[in-house]
Amino acid sequence: MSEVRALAARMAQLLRERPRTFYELLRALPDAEYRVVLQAWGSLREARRLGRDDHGLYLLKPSS
Amino acid sequence: MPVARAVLAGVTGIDGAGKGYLAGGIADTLGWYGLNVALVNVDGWLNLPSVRFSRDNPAEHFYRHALRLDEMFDQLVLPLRDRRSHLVTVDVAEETATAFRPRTYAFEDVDVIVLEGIYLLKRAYQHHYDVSFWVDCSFETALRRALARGQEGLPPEEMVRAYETIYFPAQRIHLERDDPRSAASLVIPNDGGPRNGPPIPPSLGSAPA
Repeated sequence: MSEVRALAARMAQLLRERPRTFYELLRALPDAEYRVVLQAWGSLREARRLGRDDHGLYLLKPSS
Repeated sequence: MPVARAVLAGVTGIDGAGKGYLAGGIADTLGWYGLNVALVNVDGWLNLPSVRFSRDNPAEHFYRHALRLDEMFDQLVLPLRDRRSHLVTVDVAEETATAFRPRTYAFEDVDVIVLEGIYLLKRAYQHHYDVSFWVDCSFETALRRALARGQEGLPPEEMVRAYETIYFPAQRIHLERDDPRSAASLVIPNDGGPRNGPPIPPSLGSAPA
């Protein structure tokens, strides 16, 4: 789980920098296994941190 | 290549390998994780029977003319991959169709395209994918599944003859010419399990593995 949490934190940081597509996130995380990517993505989604901007790019919503 | 694009995943294998089952599972899983998935099947991009079948060298002809893959990539897949949103009306023809009919594809903010069908790893298309899966099974298993599915709408004897004289020889051309197993990111064995269909009756013969 720590691997998932660490990757979720990296994803959150990337989305904090600027909105991105899922493809861009994968490109920015070349060392991550797809399974862990999905688990990390799922954890951000379950925490309701993922939103989309007007262009459909993913962004990080403030934690509630 | 645009950076803000969708991921393109290809799921391919011989007829009856289980491509649709795997592609559906991938799409469902990605959707469960909240990703916006476009599941595209190549079957609508068949040529009409008068174009895809020929009595002269039927396997080679089918390999070359069964599908309108160039049109599919140009009109649907590559614009969708590169812009993530795409609205287009195209001509489609399914297995038993004798004429094209219009079909509109409407996708918005797609994260992953899961493209499923035969011949996706012909050499001309191998560079398009971010990730690709070859679903591997024997010709004998594939024939059993095809008979159980019966999607060509043919009597069993005619279906066996079609698979042994057209579809499987055409796939052997594909295997030899394009080496799709080596080109795929991942080879998934799928030669067992309950979806294989019943054994082929001896009267129908069987496809060599």
